[in-house]
Amino acid sequence: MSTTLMAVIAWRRKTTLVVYTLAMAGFMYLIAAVYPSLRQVGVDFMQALPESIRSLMGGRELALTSVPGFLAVGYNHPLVLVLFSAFVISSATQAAAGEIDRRTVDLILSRPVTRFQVLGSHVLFALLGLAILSTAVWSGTAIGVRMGFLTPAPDLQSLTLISVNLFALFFAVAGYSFLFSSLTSETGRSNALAGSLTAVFFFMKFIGDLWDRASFLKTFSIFQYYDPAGVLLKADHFTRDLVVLFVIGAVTLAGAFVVFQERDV
Amino acid sequence: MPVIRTENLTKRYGPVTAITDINLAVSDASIYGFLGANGSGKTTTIRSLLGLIRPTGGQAYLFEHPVGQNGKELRRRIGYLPGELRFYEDMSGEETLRFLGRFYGRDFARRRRQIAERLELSRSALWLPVRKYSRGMKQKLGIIQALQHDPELLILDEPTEGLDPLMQRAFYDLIREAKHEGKTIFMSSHNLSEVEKVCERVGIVRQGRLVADESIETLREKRLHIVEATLDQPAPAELFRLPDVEVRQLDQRRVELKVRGVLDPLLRRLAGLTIRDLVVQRASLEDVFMEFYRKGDNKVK
Repeated sequence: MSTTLMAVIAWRRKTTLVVYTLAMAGFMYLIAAVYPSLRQVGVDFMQALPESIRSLMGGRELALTSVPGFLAVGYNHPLVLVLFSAFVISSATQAAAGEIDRRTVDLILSRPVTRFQVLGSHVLFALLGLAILSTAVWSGTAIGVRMGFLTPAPDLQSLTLISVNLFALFFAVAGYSFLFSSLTSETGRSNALAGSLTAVFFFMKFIGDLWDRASFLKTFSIFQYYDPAGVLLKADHFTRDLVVLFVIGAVTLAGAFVVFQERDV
Repeated sequence: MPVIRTENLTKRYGPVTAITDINLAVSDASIYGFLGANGSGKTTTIRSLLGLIRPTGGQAYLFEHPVGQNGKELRRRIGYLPGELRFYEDMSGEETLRFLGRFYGRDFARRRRQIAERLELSRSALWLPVRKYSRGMKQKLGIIQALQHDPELLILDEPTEGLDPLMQRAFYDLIREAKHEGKTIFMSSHNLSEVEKVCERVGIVRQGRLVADESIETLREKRLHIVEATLDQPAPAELFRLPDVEVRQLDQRRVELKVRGVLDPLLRRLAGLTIRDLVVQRASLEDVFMEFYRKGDNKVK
């Protein structure tokens, strides 16, 4: 890694990271804060939602007004998934495709720095940012728990594991996003490929949840391996989920390094 | 020792050949001009030298080390000015220079200030965001970043693009000084008078092939002369049919003779005639350049 490059990446992305971090922490706090009132008035309403909507909200099998069900809704909320995706995909795109597209790559790669260091600095920043966002999500929820909004209160260890699962999910997204970034020379194309694949994975899981005959699709979706409710209910597939997500991320990241090393810029 | 050497350097993009069999040798402490029209392969050659693009054939060497091996250490000794110069627009000029300088593990504040003064880029201008820079200011910033770490080899792609004549002169002084300090300068250009002013050797690239690699002196000797002779008697064109002489009959007694190389054979021929008027003009280096371009691949190095 290059500390010089890392410092500049961090300086250039600081506003995005700070805004996203505050948004994530604030949103998860709000989710916890609205739980008591929704529980009082919303039981019938929540259970009356169509199955597709409940599935989209991440809790088809769960009572959405239970703490695990409600937290699952929070962790699967489009705002969380979209902000995490936006941060990871844009960070990856800036790395190779972005530098090539802006033509700043000539200035960077003519310095005494290897391509591995250049890409590595971007990867490291993206993963640090991802860790910060995951921590923000944990913090927002943990503060809500501390304030007594969620009863029965989930244990903080479970919340930590959900954040680890969230980190692992977007580690996988980061992996293929960096691979697309290394393969392309245009910001738009890299963003579009990574964004589209993420959306495809999301809808594969959604359709698989809704329609039993298409349930096989879920196996091929990274979102199948992200299960906040399962973590809270102590489901036994947590380790398997993490392994699958980290392997996808690691393999695609390795591919990104190989491609960037060999390609013309 | 050649600081830059290429052996049959070739780059193809699918069916399109960008450069073919480029063989260069740029010696230590010299200024080498790399001439060619737009799209002739200058930038492809330069980017291959820096390892930014991978050649499909041949090999480039910097300081006698193959490009691609130990590239990090090689690049420490190089200052590069890209032809298509882009910076991070949200950073100021000063931040950009500090950032780019930090890769070498030192602060070059004094030297970059000196160069900035020579190029008349004020401190206040340096603190403006790059997005507010004019084309000329960006070019100055590019020159400073290439020179600030005092590299042994400068690779400059169209370095005077966007500079006014005064600043061009300041730039020529800077690279002449660098040369006197033992640095090697490899610069591409399509400005022939610029190359003539500062370079000792020149390579001319056409359609991806190196069609000439000569010292400026040799090139000067190869200059074309345009001779217009008015004779007392009729001057048939056949009278001047000599190797390397092109004849154009202007009227019965007047001929225009385009002479490539030395004038001596023609002058001997003219000596036997009664001449009423004789005008000898030296063609510019541009005419020489165009001559290489006309002859293209047939031109022998």
